[in-house]
Amino acid sequence: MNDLIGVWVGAILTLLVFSYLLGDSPLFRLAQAIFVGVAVGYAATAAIYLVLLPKLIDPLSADPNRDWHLVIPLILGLLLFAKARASWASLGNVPMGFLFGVGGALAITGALSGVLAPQIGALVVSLSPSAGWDVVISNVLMVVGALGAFLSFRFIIPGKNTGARAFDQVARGWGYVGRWFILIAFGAIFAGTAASRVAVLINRMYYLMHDWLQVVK
Amino acid sequence: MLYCTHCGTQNRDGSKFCNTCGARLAPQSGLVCAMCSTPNPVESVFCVKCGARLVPLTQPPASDKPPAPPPIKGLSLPSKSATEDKIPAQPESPATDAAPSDDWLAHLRASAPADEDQPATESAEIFSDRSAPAESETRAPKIKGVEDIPDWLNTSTQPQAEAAPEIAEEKEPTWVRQMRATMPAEETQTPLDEPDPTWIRQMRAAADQTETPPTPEEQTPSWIEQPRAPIQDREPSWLEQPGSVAPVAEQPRAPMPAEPIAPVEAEMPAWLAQLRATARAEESPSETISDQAPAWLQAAPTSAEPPVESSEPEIEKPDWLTSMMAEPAPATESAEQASEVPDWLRAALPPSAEPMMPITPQAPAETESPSEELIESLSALPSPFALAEPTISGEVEEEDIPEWLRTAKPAEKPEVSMGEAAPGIERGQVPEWIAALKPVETLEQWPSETMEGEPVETIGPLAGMRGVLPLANAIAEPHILSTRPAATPEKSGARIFESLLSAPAALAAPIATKRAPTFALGRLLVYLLLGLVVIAPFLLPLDWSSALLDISRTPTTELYDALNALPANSTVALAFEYDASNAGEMDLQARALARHLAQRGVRVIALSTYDTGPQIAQRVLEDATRGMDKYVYGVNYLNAGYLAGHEAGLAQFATTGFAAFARDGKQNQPLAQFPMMTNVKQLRDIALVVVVAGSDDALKMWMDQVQPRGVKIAAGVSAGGEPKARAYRTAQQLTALMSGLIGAAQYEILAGQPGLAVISVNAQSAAQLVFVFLIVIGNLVFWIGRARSKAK
Repeated sequence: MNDLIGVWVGAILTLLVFSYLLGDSPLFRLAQAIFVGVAVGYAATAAIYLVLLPKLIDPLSADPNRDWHLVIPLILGLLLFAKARASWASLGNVPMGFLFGVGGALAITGALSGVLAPQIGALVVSLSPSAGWDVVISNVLMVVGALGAFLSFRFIIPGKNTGARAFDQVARGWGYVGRWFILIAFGAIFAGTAASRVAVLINRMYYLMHDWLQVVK
Repeated sequence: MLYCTHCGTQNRDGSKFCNTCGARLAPQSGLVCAMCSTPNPVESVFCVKCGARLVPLTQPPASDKPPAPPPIKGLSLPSKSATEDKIPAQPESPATDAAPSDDWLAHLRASAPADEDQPATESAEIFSDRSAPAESETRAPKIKGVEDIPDWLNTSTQPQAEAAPEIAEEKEPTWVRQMRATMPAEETQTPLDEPDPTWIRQMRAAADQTETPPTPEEQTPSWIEQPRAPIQDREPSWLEQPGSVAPVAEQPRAPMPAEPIAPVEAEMPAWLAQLRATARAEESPSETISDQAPAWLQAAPTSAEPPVESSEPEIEKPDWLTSMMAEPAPATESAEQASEVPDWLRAALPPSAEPMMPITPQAPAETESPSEELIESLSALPSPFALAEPTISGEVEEEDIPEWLRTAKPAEKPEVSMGEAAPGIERGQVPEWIAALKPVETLEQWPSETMEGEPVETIGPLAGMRGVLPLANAIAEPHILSTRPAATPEKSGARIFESLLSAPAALAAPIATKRAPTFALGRLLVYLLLGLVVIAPFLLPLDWSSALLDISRTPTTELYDALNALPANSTVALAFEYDASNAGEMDLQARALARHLAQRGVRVIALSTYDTGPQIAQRVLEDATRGMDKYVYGVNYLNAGYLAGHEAGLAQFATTGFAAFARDGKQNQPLAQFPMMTNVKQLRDIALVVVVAGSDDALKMWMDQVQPRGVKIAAGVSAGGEPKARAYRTAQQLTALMSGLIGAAQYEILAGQPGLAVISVNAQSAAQLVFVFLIVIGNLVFWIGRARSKAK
């Protein structure tokens, strides 16, 4: 019975969202409000029952002497409520600064170690024909495309000497090629996104026909 | 101080009535200027107003008597006090107050011996002042023609005639009787019933006529002749000849010579010569024309004649100057006013009154004295400066132009106007629009006053004149180049623009919300076509896409091989990094992976950094393990739950392992309680981490925080995140990569269990074919429409 109600609720909400294809309507707004409300309620519940209670309150209440260091995140979390009042807002800057500082440090170190260095190393590829001509061509295209993408973001006033002028001409041409690589990548991303949205559509249509209408086995 | 003649009380100067008895005080003795009738203090020698000499430079009469002391200052020709006319008539005559006046007479008696030898004129002055109150009564019924008589004559004749019977002889002081005895017999024996002497009657009769008859000298009273006697010897003949003094009314107003008195200086009295000398400094250094008489007096009879007969030397004059000199209108009127002035007063006219300075003609105002009338009438004469300005009208002939101006005459230039074509220049070379832009030259209003410092003409008929041609004014006039006046079209345009600016802003037209029916219909057709294409694979038993799927040498195959190579009882971390929005695509990948792992007996620990991830993971795992009774939760698979903190949580997970998780996502129990977690503490206890990411950002977090720590990561991403995820695979950061619905279908085929993913790929392939069809159709319509628009 619960599954049946859930299927009907899910089916009705799906149709309400599809009503947006005919234009904005109160039905779509109703479904949108329901989803937002459910998401917020679920997030709050998850934060309380999946984070605060098991990771902060329960350890502190069970054995404070062992987990006394949890008082620091507790105080920082309480200071966030100071943002609600203008006169106390400066107190909330402490946990905000802590969050931004930790997040920035993690992002920078992660980008350096997880993206920049490995991606630069990935450009060092073999152009030996022993790996196969297709691999050579692919590597060449990858290197040319990657460097061209970098050069397409080159906004430098060219020098006056001959070498600088020649390099500027080469960089401009290479950057123009790299710009086409970027455009092709954007096209691929757009096509993949469209395919993803079609897959979601298919899932919803299958749900309606299989779970709700049960016309598809 | 003034002493009251009634009670002898001292009163302040200027008082008219006594402070004690209220009697009228005798007017303060003083000297009234014969020229301007201005009262002057007794000790004054020159008038404080007009500068005329009040005390004549007379010599004591030659007699046997010892020389008299110098005359007392302030006593001069008999005159009438200016304030006397303003005093109202007293009810009782001062003559009846003779007895009380003995006091002041006694006061004067002390100085009587010194005054006995004074001239009769001084005595007359005393009598005149003494009898002033009684005079106001007797003069009330004024005889016709008396008003034409100068005031000084009234004050010197009538009072004397009336005061004589009033003053009793027995009351007269001795010194008065002695002084009277020295007076001529004619005066003392004047009958009282004849108040006017003969000469006055004759003068009155002459005043009734238009022309003033000459004053016969023999009819002049002896008392007034006597004072003139001492200077009669030096009096010029022209002053003695009655006919020489022409009536002023007949005098033309011709310009008077600059120096009229110089030739007769030898024959003039000393006092008159001194007056002339004081005025000489103010006169222009013009040459004297006549040497027999004052020029202005000489010009009087001759100016009545035509200008040709003037005594002035014949000078070549321009016509315009001659015509302007003949203007008689203002001169006639002034001459009539000046006719009331006696001749002897004209003779005493100070040279300063001569019209040598440029005086602006004014309307004749009511004057207080004949001398002022004369001055104003003379000032009404046409001044050469007043005639100077018309000379710039261009009517001056070549010979009349001064030499300096003739030499400075610029060369004539042909004036080219915009409307006329100059010789040698064809008309039309200047476009009209340029001509319209020509600025307009305007002259600012500039005062046309004669500027000081202008040069004086030295030659020619204008010699001696200043500012005849006020070129300085013409040069100083500022020329202003104003902007071009706006044309009519420009004005109309500006008016429209101004109206637009001033008009309130109209509300923008509401955007039509009603869409075109064709567009709505087309969109509905697209929606219907796409819906049918998506539904048809589920309804029709078609499996044409699976045959087309290439499962060899694809990234999905690499992932399958990697999972297939895992030993049994190994642990794989399956990260559900997507939410409900990507569940339709990513659930197929996760389900295929979980089913494959479950079939191989690999333990799976599900986790997620999304708060909804544990719920999705639990649903996918239950669906994937359905029918596998030996694959038990907590033993073979586990939902580790939500990993809070995103990157920070992943960093903690990479550092501390599964200690970062608090409770599982199904039973809300600590992970340590589950049997499968006894041997799994750190990431190194995990054989492989498979990240099913709905977005590239979720995969990036894993690649930034976990992969660098040496953890093997394989990924299944959405179709939209594949381009970015492929870079990780190319860099060998990802062990394997599966993307989109196609990857899920490939994995199902590889696993030998085609399912919903394969069916969904049929629907997706049909939908993509529809997309291609619509794109082609849309481009064809666009290009055809563009070609038609170009053809039109």
